[in-house]
Amino acid sequence: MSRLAGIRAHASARISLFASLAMLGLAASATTALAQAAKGEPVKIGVTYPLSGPQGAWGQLLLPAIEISVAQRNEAGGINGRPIQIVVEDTKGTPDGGVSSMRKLVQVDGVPAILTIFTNVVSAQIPLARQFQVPIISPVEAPGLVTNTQYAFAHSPLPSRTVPIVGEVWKKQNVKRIFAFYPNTPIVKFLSPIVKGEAEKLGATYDEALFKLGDSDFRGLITRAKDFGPDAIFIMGHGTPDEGAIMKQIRELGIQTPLYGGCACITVKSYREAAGKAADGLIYGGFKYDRAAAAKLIDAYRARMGFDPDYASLEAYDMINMIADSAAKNGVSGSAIREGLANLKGFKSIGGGLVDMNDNQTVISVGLYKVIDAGKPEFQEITP
Amino acid sequence: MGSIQTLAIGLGMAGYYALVAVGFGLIFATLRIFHVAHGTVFVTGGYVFFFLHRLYGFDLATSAAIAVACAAILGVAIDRVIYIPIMRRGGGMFAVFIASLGVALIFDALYLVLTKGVLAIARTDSLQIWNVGAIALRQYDMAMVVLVLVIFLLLYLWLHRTRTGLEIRALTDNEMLAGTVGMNVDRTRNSIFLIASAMAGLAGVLTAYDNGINPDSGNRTLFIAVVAVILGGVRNLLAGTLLGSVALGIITAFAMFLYPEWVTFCIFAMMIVLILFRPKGLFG
Repeated sequence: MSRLAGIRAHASARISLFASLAMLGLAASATTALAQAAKGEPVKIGVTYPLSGPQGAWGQLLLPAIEISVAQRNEAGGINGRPIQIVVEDTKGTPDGGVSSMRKLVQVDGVPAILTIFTNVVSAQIPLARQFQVPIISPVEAPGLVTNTQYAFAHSPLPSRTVPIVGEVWKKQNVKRIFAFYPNTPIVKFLSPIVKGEAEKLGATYDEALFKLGDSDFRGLITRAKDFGPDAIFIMGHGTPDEGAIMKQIRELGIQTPLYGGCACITVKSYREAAGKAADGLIYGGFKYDRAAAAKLIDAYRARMGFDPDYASLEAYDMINMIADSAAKNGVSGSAIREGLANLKGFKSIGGGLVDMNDNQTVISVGLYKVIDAGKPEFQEITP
Repeated sequence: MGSIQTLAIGLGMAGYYALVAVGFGLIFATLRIFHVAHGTVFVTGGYVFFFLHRLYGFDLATSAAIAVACAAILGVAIDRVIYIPIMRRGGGMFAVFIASLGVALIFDALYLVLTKGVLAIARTDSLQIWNVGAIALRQYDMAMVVLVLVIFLLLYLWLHRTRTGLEIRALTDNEMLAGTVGMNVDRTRNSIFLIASAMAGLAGVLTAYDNGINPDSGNRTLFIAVVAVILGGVRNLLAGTLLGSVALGIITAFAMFLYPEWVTFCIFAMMIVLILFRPKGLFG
């Protein structure tokens, strides 16, 4: 299988954006945009995202948001007049893929900064970032993962903030038995203690099951949950379709227990399609953003993809601009961009509000939501 | 409660295994070909169905019919374009096995490129269930059990009430003798691949609609089907593969319930123990 994975990776990995940037540039309104448009030698930014494998469905949905962010930034002058060019490598969502793609981007393409994603991949890339002195920024949600790492940064709502607001709902509803599903990846190491901690605070009985990413039949594990007799089921992982499939299979095994989550993954198309109507009623804590403020991204994304971008698309959009702002202020070398990211203050997020970097982790707003109709999707902010 | 629910899940899974296993067993018993690419035929049926129904909006029946037809044609094509020329040039069963493995890996790589390995589920709606006490039975599983039983009944009639069936059974007993008494071995061979591949394609369609497929699904399902055939024994193909598949479905479901990390271990450990004590299978 590794040979086949290699064929896949190398065939699909590198994507040049010049053509799409040119088209977007032509589509932009003529005079002002052209007057400000970036010229000259491009500044390369690396992107190590999964474009294949279990997490590939999501990675493919996030890439357009990154491309839109780059195009809009270039229309507005890029980095001190120089255009941004992204160079994309497929990590397949694996640590090995993350390391090899990062090596290639730094040592062959010479990128000074990298946009990346997923805890297992980022964990493997952190030592390399320090070695190469190339900053990496990702929406990883593992508390403390990037703290004191020097070259790793995160822009995301942490579960240590989203799960407790779900815990408030459990407290109000007097939940006594909680069953959780996590993927069998490093993400479970920090997620499980947080959710278990919330259960302990309530004096609730807690049990959990770990599913294998890429599997499609989870009914064995779900039967275990059914035997446990929970009055709350918590599902959280990497936002892959597996989690949506688990929701669907929970309902297909006749379990009507309320479902909870710790991220806004229902905004992800591949996730909600796998869940279908089973996600109706799901309550989750996640990134709180203002759709009106994000119109610049949402409209462009919708025009290109035919549907709205998910919450992580907003994070990705922001991260391109965080790197660009840092490079514009401090220079385009890896250490200069790192310096800019470490001292980021008052960054204007596409989701509205100002963001500061604190110990290499941004602090962004979180809210509690209930899914009304997963198909549309329609969800509303609620109070515990 | 968990045990009965798991049993119900296992019976549903047995349906997929049975459809793939009986086709594989038919080819192996009659032509002595270890048709690894049978998993490719399975996954091709699933992907054609997924692409037609989910991406191009064809209705379920049309998508399923085209997918099964494509799988059947692919199976026959693999035999005529790969296996037969190798055998005519003096290649033995091992050469055919390696070629079959090559075909499987080529298609595996092709589907990885086309789908990026993302799980392809052909439905967005939830399946209807019947609640029997605390047990939830999916109507889909029940329908599949009936469908598999009907297919096995038709297979029995085909093998025991038609001339082609008689020829196939003759091939199983003695291929050389069947040829020398004037049997049209080529035509019979086509029939075997056509029917076996259509059943694998149907299993692919049903899997793609149920929990979805990825490029690995073909090989994974095939290996379980091979164990089902070994478990049942090739001499009593229909009853053997059906019971072998049921046993494996139940074992897999219980392993997924109790020790999900040990599913593969359980299946193949059981196969090795069985081969040690009953090399010809339970009904061999």
